[in-house]
Amino acid sequence: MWRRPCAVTCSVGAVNRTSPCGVGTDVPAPGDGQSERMDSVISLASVSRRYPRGVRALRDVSLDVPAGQFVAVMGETGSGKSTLLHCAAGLDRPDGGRVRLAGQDITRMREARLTRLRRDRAGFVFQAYNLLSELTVRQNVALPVRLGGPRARTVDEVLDQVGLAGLGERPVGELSGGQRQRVAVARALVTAPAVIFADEPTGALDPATGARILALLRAAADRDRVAVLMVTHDPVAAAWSDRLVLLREGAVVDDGPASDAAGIAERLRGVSAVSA
Amino acid sequence: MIRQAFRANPWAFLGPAATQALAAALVATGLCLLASFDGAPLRPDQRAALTDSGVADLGLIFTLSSVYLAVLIVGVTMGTAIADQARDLALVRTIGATPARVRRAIATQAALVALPATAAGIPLGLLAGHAWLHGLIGHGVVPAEVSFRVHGGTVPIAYAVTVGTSLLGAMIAAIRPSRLRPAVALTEAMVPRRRAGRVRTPIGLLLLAGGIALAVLISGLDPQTADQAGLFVMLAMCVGVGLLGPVLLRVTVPAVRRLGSTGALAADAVAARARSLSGALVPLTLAVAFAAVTIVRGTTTAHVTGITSPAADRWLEYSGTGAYTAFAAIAAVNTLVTVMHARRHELAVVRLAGGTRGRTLAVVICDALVVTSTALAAGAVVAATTLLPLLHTALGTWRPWLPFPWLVAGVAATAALVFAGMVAPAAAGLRRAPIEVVG
Repeated sequence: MWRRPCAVTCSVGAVNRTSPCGVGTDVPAPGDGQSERMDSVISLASVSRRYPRGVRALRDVSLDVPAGQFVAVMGETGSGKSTLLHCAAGLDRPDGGRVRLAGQDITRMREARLTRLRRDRAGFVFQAYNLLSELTVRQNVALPVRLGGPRARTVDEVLDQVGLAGLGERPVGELSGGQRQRVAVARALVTAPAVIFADEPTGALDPATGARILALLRAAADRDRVAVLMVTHDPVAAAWSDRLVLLREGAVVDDGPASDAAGIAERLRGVSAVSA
Repeated sequence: MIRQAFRANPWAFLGPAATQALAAALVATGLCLLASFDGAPLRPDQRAALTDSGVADLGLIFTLSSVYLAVLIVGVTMGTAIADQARDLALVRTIGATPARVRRAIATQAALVALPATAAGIPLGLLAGHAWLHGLIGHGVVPAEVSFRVHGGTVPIAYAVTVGTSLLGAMIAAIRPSRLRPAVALTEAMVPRRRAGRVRTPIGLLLLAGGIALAVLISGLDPQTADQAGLFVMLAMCVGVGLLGPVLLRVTVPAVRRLGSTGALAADAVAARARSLSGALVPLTLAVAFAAVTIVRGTTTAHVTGITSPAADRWLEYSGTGAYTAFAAIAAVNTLVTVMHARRHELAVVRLAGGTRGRTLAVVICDALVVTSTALAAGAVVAATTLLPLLHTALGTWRPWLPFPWLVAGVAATAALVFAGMVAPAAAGLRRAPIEVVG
């Protein structure tokens, strides 16, 4: 097993599992090139986060994710997985350390500017509550653009990509769980973001439907060079990633190339055993 | 975003729309009384008699009181409607709506609700004004020369009041969802906040204390001034009760817990939703306090002096109070319906977890009892604080007098309001299969 001290910045080169047609269509927009770490789309340096009642959700976590890398974050419930994702995405602010997103330091960025950065450069897929239930598929997918985000790709194009061509006018309330999750992926893709944050994207889906969502995220990383940061508790889902980050009590305890589901489950058990 | 808000929960906007229509109606009524009295071709002695009896000021007082009430009640119902959207707001904040954008969307909703509601309310108010004026003439309160006139400024003033109050209420309600970090908002959208606000409780206490201080102050003044200041005592205390609502409801909870397992379930539900239920507490307390003050003042005066006030005076008093009480009561029912709508998911879960339809309804009935008793207690305290100085200055007594049947009728009417707002919608919702609601 491949371990390193957690305080050290862990940058693992993408283990290339590029699809045969791996042409980088959407290289992250200009502007990233100027940043010092031009390869890191997400960069956390010694990030810590404490909650009011003294709970330390994150302790000195460092993580760099280059474009096109698919990272799975795993750990027991309460290990700080979601807090890590929230801090990386600027949905929450750390108490210590620095966070960079798409080349910009967001640690102390003003809320409105941070929101616009998130809108333009990041996409989100959550386990539930992903969509505005009363709007159509098309209206949901177009939401970031409606909010002023870049119209990098057309709605039809991304709907086609996620296999929902022709369903644009359906209200999302009529769709199945898997279809809804594909709408969320389409919405995340419509601005051609530099990064997609996914929090248990397959948590509520059956394995076959979940696999389709993961394939979409995989394709976004390979084809569009999107950095994907996914929080999951499912080793099968994590096996789709390039790199596995294991958290325990808010600290990174393992960071290395992802293996197959059985191997990931084994590593996860190893981490739990230490904590037990 | 706006479309989602309206479609996702059209019922949530029924409350603000209904209260705004009523606010517009009350303002229109007050204005047309004002115009009718001012414009009437009266002889100087008639005019003087009208001014002396205080009836001439009726239009102005009614208009101003309507504006105060509208600020309070429209604000509360609009706030409840916005709170209902927490989950959607958290989502759009995450995917890129700036705080300013969320505020703008909420303001637009508020304005969009106010426009048609006001348009519906104004004609209603003019009809009511027409009827009221006829009643006043019929009872001989005003001379027959006074004819119905429409105030030139009715439409702009009514719109200014409703749009203004609607925006104010919505913007206050929008402060929190627009400023929260999305990560916190996403969590909160699933789990309602339980902690009493650090700002909310002290301000509530301050308003209560201010109301009591004002009451003490006016008990030493002449009856007329005391009478005029009474409304402010009541308004301050009602807002105070609304702010302290979560705390007050939680005080009532332990009593319900004694009612066995159904009571315990109900107690948990009230504790979890104390914040949204307290939105209904403001109009409920207002309705109870308004009605109590007017009725008890009438009965006590008759009891102490032994003289029944002239039918015309009583009619005037009760018709005015009746309008306010109805306004507050409708707002209370609306707010409760909105809160129950937000709870439909929770009730479905109770049923899926093994609660029969009857058992689930029993839980809601327990909740309704908590709300009723809290509102009655708060309303009684507010009414007492408002009324005692008035009784003291006018009659020299500190002891109010109310015949027992009236008291029972008041309690029953309050319970009926709460049950109409909570139990009726819950019963309707329980007719759907729970899995349909959850899915």
